Amino acid sequence: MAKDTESVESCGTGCGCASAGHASEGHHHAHVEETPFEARVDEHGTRRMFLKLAGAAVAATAAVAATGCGPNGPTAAEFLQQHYKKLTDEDKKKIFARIEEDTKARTGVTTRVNDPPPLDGVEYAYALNLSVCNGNRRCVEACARENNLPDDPEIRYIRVLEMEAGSLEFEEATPYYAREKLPARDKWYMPVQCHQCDNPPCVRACPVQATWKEPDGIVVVDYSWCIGCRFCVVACPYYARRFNFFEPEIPPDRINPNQGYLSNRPRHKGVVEKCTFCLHRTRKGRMPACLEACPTGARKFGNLNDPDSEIRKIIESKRVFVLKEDLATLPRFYYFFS
Amino acid sequence: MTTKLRWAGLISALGLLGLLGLPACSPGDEPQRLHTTHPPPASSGSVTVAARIPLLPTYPCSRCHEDRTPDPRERKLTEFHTQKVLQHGTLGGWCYRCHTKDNIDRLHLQDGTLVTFDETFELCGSCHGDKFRDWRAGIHGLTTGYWNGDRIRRACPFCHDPHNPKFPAMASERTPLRPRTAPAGEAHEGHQAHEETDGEGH
Amino acid sequence: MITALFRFSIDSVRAMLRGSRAYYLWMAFLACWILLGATAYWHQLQVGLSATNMVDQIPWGAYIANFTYLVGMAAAAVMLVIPAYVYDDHDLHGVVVLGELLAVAVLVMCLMFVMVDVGRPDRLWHMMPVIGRFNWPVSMLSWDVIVLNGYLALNAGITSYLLFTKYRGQRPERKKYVPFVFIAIGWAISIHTVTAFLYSGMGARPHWNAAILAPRFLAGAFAAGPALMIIALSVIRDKMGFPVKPAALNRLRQIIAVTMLINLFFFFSEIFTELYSFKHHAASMRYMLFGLQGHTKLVPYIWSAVALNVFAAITFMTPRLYKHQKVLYAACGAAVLGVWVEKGMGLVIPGFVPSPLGEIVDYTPSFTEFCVSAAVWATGAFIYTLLLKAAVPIELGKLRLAGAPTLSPEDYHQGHGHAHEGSEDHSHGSHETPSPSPEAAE
Repeated sequence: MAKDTESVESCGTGCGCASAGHASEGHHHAHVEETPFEARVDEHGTRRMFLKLAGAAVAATAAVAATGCGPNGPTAAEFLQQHYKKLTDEDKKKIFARIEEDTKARTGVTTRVNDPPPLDGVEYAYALNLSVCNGNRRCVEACARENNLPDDPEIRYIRVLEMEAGSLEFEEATPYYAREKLPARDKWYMPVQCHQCDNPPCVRACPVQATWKEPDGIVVVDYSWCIGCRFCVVACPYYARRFNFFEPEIPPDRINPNQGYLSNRPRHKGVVEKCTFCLHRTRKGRMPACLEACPTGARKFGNLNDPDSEIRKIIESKRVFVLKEDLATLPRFYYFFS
Repeated sequence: MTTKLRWAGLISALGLLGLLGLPACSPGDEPQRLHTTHPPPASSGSVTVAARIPLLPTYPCSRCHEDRTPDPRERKLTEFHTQKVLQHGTLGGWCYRCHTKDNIDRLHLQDGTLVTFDETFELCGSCHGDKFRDWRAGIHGLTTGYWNGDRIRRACPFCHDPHNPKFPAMASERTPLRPRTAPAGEAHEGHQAHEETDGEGH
Repeated sequence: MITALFRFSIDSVRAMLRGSRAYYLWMAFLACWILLGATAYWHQLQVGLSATNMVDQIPWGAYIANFTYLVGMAAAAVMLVIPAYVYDDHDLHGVVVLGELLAVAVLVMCLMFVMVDVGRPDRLWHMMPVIGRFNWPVSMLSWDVIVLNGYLALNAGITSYLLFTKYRGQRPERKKYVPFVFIAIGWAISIHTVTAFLYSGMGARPHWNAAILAPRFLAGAFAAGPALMIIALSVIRDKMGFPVKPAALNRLRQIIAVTMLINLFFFFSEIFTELYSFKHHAASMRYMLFGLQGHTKLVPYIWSAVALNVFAAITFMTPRLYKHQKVLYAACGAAVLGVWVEKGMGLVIPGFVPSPLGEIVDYTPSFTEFCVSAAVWATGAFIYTLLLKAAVPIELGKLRLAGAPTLSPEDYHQGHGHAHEGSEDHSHGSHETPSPSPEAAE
């Protein structure tokens, strides 16, 4: 018993490695080993074997606890970090510096982590012109570069579906097309990304409030608070959330050094991420990266509260629809035909 | 007495727990509705139409055309502009339908008004009214810059060759990888490049 | 009191450490699985959940499927408690504690399955009230955390109280535990209901988004749970010498005969509604039953589950079949396995196929997932065996506080007997029959 407890404590930070699973597994064996009672057993051989196994289990638990604090586990500061909404400006400064240092140490790249606040009176919306989108995926790759997404194993926020003419049926569609000449005959293209729902089912699903809707309508994730349960991934009707099954790796020359704490800063394995309308750009007035990369001009972005904005003109004058309207998610991502 | 005190202690401890616990249990911010009432910032900033002329390699046209006599006949060009394909719908006429015979550095509208090569949208818009309206509203075409500030808007010829305005076909960027646990045979299917095919396996 | 509690713990641990060769072999067997699983989990911690076959299209796999099933098994303990306490069925009174201990072991497994499933187990403290940021009452997952831990506390509390009083040779006071028993009955229903609501509240997943889901969950659990209980009680009776009245087993059989039929009926109702209307939302159902676009990996699972469940239902209703012990056990095994497959491969996985964007991705657990899952099951069996090693002698009156009065069987509220008069010494081995065989856990 004592051995077992010790091994867990030695970890100190209580990183995942020393978590209850192993501890409890080792536990029962530990009872056996440390017990002062010498119970009488008929079969000494069996008992010895049992004890050996028990010892092995304790040793394994200790090993797990010891090595788990290595490069893979969180540091004490990371482990104890509070939820984003509880952080003071002073906390944030320290955390951002820590992230920058960590990136520098891992990749040699100097980055700048900042946290632009939502702009007063602004609610973002996105519109996509299905009449002109030709499915070239420039947006997908520009997004990947802007948001520091890994290539292999791959994470992409935007998924472009090649749809059959005359059908809005996703089961008939494929995202895996590769073509020299787009658009292909009898196909049309539907890019899907996070719809930044006004009534987001993912936010409701999260058991720890690691994801929430900001005042400007953007649904964000605190990558330092997410426990990785993936209930939000299950809840999203748009397949917009991505889980880091692997430790993501970006080649140093592809790292975007302009990083938002709630958007494109480095993520690690075990947490969920998603499109944030490039909030580190858009909250400074810039357009999202996917929009600027689109050669067809299919993508439109702006402030829904501004009656003169392009986005309002589209919603007021075009045939606009939202995806899966029946789910009442109230997306901020509109599709339209021109 | 002691019992009472103990109770008081317990109750206050519970109260403290509740105080601490309640914020942690609160469901978070109230869901906000679309179109909130607070005044939005006016869309400040200007819209600039990107200049086209600096991008034209042979401008001013008069440099060459000065010494030549305009030939309005429809024919195959063999000397200059041989790459130009004129495939603009049912648009009749030849070069001088849009280019100006006696002022080759300008274009002209149907009523004879001259426009520069930076104002092509006036010429295109004289026929494509609906697209022109959308473009002016920022709905059609590519606008970059700041959504709440200065914006740059590209005029028609940036994307459409006026002589052959159909938007050019383009190749797709990197195909997404199949889920890593998909069977090998399936994983390859997605990477095959299809050239102008109708049937795309999925 | 404190000394008694201390002696209680010491004596319980001592009882757990003693046993026959078969007992040690059984525990060693479980320990091997646990070790294998611990190694696999260690690997998973290193490389992340890429060690599993889960992908973005299939965000939950074997772990959560097992979790869902086991919540039902834990809830099914009430199938012993309700007849015993609500209808005062004396035959079942004697085994209630064993059922509740099973619930305790199963709940530990549930919590372990959640723990191995999350991407950042080191951050589980974020779920704790006050120090964390618990999204209650909005997130169904937060409800699940509350009801599961509450149910664990209730069952652990009730069984500890009953066993401890018995250990002290005292009569349990109804006032002190019966109210909790009734709370636990309602609570048991709630744990599986809340778990069903995790799924049925998902508008994004039409396969789950049905009102029948919670009743279906309960029906399945109340068939598989008692079936597991029949097997467990038989093993405890045969291997540990605990008197289990045939009437108790018969009552459980009657329960399964009804619940399994209801389970099959609910399943049929759902299939009919989905398939007859032939709407797009039935794609998951079609994928599960017949396969979609050539993807047929899941089809054998659901049909074998249906076959197992039908076999169990028929057996439990036909005296000519169930009077044979072996056939009865086979039917119990079929019910346990059938509902397990139906929950996992028949409900959790097809809910993800097709994905919200129409993609069809097949899923089968990876080797790591298999090892870790097996280890969690082994841990459950390990814990249950340990609990039984202490609880059975206490229940039988063999393990008592030194000097505690010997109560006659009638004195116990539970009304089962077998208290050995004056058998003060715990000369183990002599009365110790071989321990549960591997069937106990499967």
